[in-house]
Amino acid sequence: MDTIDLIDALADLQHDLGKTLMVSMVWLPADASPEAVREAADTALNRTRRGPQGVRTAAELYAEFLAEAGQAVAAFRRWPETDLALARALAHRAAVADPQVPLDRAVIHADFVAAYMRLCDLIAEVNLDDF
Amino acid sequence: MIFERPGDRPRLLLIDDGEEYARVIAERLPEFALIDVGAAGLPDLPPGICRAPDGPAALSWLARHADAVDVVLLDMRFDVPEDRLLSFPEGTNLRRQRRFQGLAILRALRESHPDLPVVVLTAVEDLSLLDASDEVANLSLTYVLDSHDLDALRIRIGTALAESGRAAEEDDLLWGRDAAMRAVRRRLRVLARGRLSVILEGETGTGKSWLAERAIHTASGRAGPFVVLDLATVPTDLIPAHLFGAVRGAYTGSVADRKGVFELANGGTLFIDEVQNVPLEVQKQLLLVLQDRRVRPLGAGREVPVDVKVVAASNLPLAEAVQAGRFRPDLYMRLGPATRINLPPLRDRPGDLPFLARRLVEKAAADPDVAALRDRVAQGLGAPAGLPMSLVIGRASAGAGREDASPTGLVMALPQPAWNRLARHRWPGNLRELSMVMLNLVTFTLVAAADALDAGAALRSPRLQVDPGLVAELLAGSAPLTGIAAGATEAAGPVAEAQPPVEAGLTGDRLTVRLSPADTLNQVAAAVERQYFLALWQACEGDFDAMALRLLGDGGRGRAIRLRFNQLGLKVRDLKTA
Repeated sequence: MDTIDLIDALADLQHDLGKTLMVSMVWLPADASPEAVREAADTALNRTRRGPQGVRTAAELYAEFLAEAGQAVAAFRRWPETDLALARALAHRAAVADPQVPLDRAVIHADFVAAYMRLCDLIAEVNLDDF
Repeated sequence: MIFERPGDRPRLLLIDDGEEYARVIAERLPEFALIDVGAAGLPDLPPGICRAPDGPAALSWLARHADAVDVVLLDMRFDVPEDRLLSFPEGTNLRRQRRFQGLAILRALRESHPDLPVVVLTAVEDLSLLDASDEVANLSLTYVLDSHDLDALRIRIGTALAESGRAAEEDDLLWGRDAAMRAVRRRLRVLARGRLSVILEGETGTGKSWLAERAIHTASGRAGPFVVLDLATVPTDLIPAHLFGAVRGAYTGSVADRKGVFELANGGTLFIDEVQNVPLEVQKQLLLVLQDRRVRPLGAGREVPVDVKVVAASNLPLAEAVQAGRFRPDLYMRLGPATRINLPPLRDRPGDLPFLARRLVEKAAADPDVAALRDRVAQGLGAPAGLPMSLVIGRASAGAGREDASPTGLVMALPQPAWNRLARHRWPGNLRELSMVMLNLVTFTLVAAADALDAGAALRSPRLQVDPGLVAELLAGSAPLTGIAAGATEAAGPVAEAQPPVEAGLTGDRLTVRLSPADTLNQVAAAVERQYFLALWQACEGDFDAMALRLLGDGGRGRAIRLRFNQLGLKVRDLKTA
């Protein structure tokens, strides 16, 4: 995979997964109820992207990215921290799915935003590394 | 009904394949009304769908209902079937077509609806990957959101609404609709307030003094006078006396007390034109006046308090004068580089040319010196005096000769080749030059008609054809000032037929590269590559796809070339500025 293709794959991931996670929390009203927070997080994680291929979850989008570009992206310095941030964001699935588990909105917010920001940083690194 | 303004809320047309923006705008931005395109006639969409899901749907809806839209919100990425994508340059792969589909939609929108404000929902750095950030930034009435903050979206929509509501002309000021002039206008509205100094930079004829008086002094609300000091017309020795005033006998020939422009402008605005002409030894004194708000006339023992808003103008960048040691940096800082406004030359505002030409024809025909001539021609047509005059360009002018039963105005008909000549002129004298050219065109055209009437001709049409040769004649005088080969350029046909000018450097198999004998091999390689890229960029007129085709045999890899271009330290923005 050449750098241009990798940037395209990362940009897709940033848009489809990273941005969806981030805006799900950033656009939520400050006074949103716990149910609204759970619903927003659930939508972001489990109905992440609608496209010609139907509805896909965050985990599916991430898996598709890894299958396509996992090998190429592993060489980049910022990949481990990006991988970690994405894993941390996706790890909220279990709590979100269980209504008995109270959600900490601030933590989810921070993790979702961090996933997006790490993807931005990684794209910047890959952009500079071309050629 | 969707075409009414619900509660006078601005109406937004959202073009987006996803639902997130529609949902969040409906929930979080209730001050705006999203247009229900389903209810408002978009085929295949049921009522309640508040977004056009792709470019073709949006364009077909806008073709019928553009008047119902106040602002368009446009997403950049569209995950839609291939047959719903607007076309991109050949060679762009499907993934990238989807990723940058908003750009194709934007281009189509600007073509079909140039006056419709558009907020593009994307990040600037995304656009730069496609070498499109400059293109979008220079589009009129187009704003990039570049943030996921809802307040930022509110502000962008508000700005778009405010600017689209402003006329291209205001109190005799011909602003036009060019993006750079809109930015100037926006900044001047802010800078006119208060006592902050303003620096206006721009080539001769860009309207610096006009703007200083009409857009700054008038809008400042200052009760005092507007005073002009043009330092290009004042002998260097007399500049201090003009600026600060002098008492009788302060210098040779000073026979009476003289007030300086600071005192004369007290309570108002002082416009110092060609401020770079202030001699270095006087600049310190000027700095002190600006700092202390007190002026001491030459030879006087007392200081006079002054309250003056200073507008300093220069036809060269003052920062360059500072770097060259001709202008004190502390004075430059006191004037306020942060308030510096650069007025774009007319050649960088091609979209405004038709508007400006039309308005200048109307103004020229209303000029008292031209009015008698105009009325003489109107009389010959059996029309009353005071008939207005308008300009038609190109095909519309082909109707010249058609008889109108009762003309409501004279028409100056400019054939397309003549217009093309005007459009590709470099306008070294900018708006002032255009104004004079249009005045001359009107005058000569009316004189020709009046001469025909005097010779006994019976004119039946209010359409007066411009002699195409006249345009060339009027432009010939300034063409050598543009630094271009006037003969070659002016002799060429319409713009579309002109040949790319820079190919010669490469097709001639020769590229002169500047190297230093002390350079290492790596430095030589980098220098050669850099200069080759630069020459090729010029030859391809900045088209990275064309460069990719030449270098890689693949016109779809312009982005890769752009990246390399950046790595070589070449910046498109700088090159365009240069």
